[in-house]
Amino acid sequence: MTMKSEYSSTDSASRWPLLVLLISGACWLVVSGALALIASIQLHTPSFMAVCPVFTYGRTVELAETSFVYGWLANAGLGLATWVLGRLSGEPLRAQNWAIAGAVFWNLAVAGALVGVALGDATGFALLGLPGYVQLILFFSYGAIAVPGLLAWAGRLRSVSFASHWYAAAALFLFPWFLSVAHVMLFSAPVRGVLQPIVAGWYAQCVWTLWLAPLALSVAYYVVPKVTGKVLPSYEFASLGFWCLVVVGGLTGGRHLVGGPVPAWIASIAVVSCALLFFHTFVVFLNLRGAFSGGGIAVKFIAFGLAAYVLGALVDAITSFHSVALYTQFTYFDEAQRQLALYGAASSMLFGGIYFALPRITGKAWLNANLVRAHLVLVIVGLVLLIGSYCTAASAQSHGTLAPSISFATITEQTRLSLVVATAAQGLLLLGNIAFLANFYGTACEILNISAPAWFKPAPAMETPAS
Amino acid sequence: MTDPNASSPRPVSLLAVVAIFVLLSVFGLVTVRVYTRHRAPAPQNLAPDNLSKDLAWRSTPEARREALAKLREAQAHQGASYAWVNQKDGVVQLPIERAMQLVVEEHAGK
Repeated sequence: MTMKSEYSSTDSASRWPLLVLLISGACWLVVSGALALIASIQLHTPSFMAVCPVFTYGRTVELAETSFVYGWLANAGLGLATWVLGRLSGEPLRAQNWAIAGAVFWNLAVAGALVGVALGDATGFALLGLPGYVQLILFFSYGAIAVPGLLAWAGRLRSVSFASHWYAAAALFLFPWFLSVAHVMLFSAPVRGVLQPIVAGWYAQCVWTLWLAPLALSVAYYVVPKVTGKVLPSYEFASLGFWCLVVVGGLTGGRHLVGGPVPAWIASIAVVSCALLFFHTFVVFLNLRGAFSGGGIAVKFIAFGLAAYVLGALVDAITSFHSVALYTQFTYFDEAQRQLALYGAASSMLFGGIYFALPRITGKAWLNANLVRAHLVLVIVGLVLLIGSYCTAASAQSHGTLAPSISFATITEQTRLSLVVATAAQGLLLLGNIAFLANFYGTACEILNISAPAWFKPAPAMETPAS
Repeated sequence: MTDPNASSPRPVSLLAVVAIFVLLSVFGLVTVRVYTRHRAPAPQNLAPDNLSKDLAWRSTPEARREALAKLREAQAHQGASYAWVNQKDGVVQLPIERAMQLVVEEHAGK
């Protein structure tokens, strides 16, 4: 089956770097899902794989996070942002070999980082668990991957730019800036004492607000009007929303340090910034609310991601207050927030982008519609179950830790059932990820002229006798 | 595998690629230039004045590293060689492997 309507020569001439990035991302997604499942089992059954030092809990958590953020989200986000910039530039991507070489080295660096973490070299910083020695490789690989996207942005044939342009270009520029600053201040010439968590918190928040969120939003801003066929409502506010994110996004990092041994003004600025950032979220919701009116699988994923994005911003703003953080900080609620942002918002929007982009890049429709539907259902059910179970566990934890009469063992027992449910949710997500990878592999086989496994082929083709 | 109708992309000069790398590195370079140049050394890494000889080994990271290396070398030699600890009382130093063998032999008969 070939897509005729939207298949352009611009897409086919730019397909290889995009395919390398996207398929690498899909592979890392399954790896991270398997690691997250192991970590989740270890939360309620600590003896699981305890004899293997490589897979002790601290390392599996770090391995899962690193492969998810720097393997899946980075590859998929960069691939889609480059595709969006290329499409909007009106010509095939230039310097594609740079992107392919960059993608190869980026993925080798991520693999090296996982080996380093497994051997005990994790740094302990949130979203920067990568050992210091791979960060420079990541930096230069990233530069090479960004070359085609930035050339497409700078050399676009039409002078007008769109919201998807702004978010994609901002993400491409901003990540190397804050990665290099964090590397210098935490590894090359480390700051001392309490400054380290401040820099680490700032970096972790920047990864989300200034890199992953803009990558996901660039995709959403491109796909939603394309699918719905309507002009984005309240589009005149889009630039305000964008600049609000860029200016305020990095300042929200201090919310992780509320109540910690840091100057009070850092937490206060974070609280104010979280409230200001809600303006950006509101604008994004206003612009993209058309996604909720239905459409194909891509828009369904984006609508789910948008709902998670808005909910996540609201929860971030509320929990940054000291009086609320008292109950939520250092509980499973942090993990629920992280899953809501990274998986619920960013990952879902990127899934939507891939479901929209891959048929246009390859010129082939997705091979198995059932796997696409199964993926959507498994992701939504898995995520709702995962976040719900973490919130339930967090409630018991919060109540228990604030009551001196309740022992730690009792709290552990009270959270056990919720953690078992969370493990089941991780299993559903892993199944969904495997379905996604299998379908991606089958579709990619079509353009590589490799025979896909028989179960991918449409029934009539399978029934036709070989001539 | 390749679409015959696909238009080929415009060529790119190496200068443009280099410019992109420089642009992406600018914040890191500024941080290195401004922050690391004006960074005061940590108080624990400064050698204090008028330090007595017995405390001199603690004065700087290099001195501490050197003292630790000497200590480990001496311990490694002790753990692999024979010597008297106290000849009068009959206490000897012997290699760890040999000591383990003797302990096993001593307890094997019990």
